[in-house]
Amino acid sequence: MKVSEAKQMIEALQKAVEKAEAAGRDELLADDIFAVDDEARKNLVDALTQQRS
Amino acid sequence: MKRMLIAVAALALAACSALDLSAVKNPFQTAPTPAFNVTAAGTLEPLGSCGHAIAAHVSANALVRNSAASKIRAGRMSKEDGLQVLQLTDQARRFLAQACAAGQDRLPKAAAVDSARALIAQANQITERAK
Repeated sequence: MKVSEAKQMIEALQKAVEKAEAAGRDELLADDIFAVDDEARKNLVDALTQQRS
Repeated sequence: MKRMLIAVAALALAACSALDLSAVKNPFQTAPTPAFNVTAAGTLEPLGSCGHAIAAHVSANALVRNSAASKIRAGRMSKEDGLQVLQLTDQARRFLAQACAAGQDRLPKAAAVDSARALIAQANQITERAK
């Protein structure tokens, strides 16, 4: 794994943690984690949509 | 909270390491990462409502998706491959959601997580190939 990929993953998890903290929780829930994947899916779909076939 | 973040990040990195396809071995035959804490009953330890292994795999799934998106934007991955990555990671996501839901009715989660791992490995293989 590249360092840049590890950084991306840590950043993604950091976002999930911040989301939980913003909601006043001291616990990560499934929704926090899955939101990271939702964002990545949107990124992939956007890239595919923008790509010329 | 910071300790939890570090623990989840470590698990996520371990999951991704298991997906490293530069290794000669077949990713589908990769043994479960020891970091996954499977109880005697075959269930995974919960992290809130979501298991540590599930969190790690969801992160790995997101990483593969983002990596594919970057390669598509850089013109290094075909639309066909990108669509395949999307399909595989969507399937993996469904298995991970099933695994999360399994915590409520005490069904074993390990099978769903293993299925997700195989799908993520396959998506990762396609993404890594696009170089």
